[in-house]
Amino acid sequence: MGEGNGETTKVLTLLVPWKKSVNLAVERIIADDDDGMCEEGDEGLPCYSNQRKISFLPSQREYFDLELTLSGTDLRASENSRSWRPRNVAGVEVLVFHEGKYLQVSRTGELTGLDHAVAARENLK
Amino acid sequence: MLFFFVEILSAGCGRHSVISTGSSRELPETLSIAQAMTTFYGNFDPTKQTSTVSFSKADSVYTDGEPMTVRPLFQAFVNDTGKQSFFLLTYAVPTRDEKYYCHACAPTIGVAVFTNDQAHWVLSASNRTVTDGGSFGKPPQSIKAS
Repeated sequence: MGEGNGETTKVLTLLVPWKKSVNLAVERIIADDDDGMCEEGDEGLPCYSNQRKISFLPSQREYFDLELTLSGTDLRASENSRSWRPRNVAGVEVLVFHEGKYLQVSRTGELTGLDHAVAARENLK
Repeated sequence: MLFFFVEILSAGCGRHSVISTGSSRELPETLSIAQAMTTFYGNFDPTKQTSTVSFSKADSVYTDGEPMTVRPLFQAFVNDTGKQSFFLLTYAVPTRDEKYYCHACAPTIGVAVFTNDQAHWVLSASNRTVTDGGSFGKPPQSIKAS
């Protein structure tokens, strides 16, 4: 992720008042593309674009449940950049609010390549 | 380019209305940005529209141990089933280098929540160092309260 390299990433940051403080309750990548550096055709880097739809689901907890629905395409990196091809990605993650944070309770489908980097860092499933 | 989409949730999200947002310096019900910043940080320069603060090493932020200049970033006036709240988001950058121009130079985000208790605004929740957000010295661009 960097300015000028043609990749655009959007991050969702939810801040929640909790017990007289304010918590960073969850942080997730909600969009990623390489529009600024890709080219259609065989010569350039293939284009990809993925995004997550954010839905708040009514619940009896202090804060609504959170559902993130992934759709779009992703580029799976390999050592040979000429073999890179965009692939479709889809998935749903559900998180519930517990003790000041959003916790993942389920996830189906895929993660993006960028997700994997975050998942490894934050021990996500 | 990295964009942050910051959303501040109030309790029972979805059951209330956000009735005032934007960059207005004067807020409904007599609470001003100057009052809010002074309560939150203990100081406010009305000419520069800034507060100053230093974060400690115990704070989980990119820059600690030096004076920081803090500016209002976003405010929202929320009416939650008859109870009024005011959300103030701030961002802090090092005073010695307010351009703070590097990729990893994310301002430190602070949040204060004031509630209206019998015509008095009370600081009900706050955190001067919720997270670091943005890049190249610029704070997150898309923020909303819900």
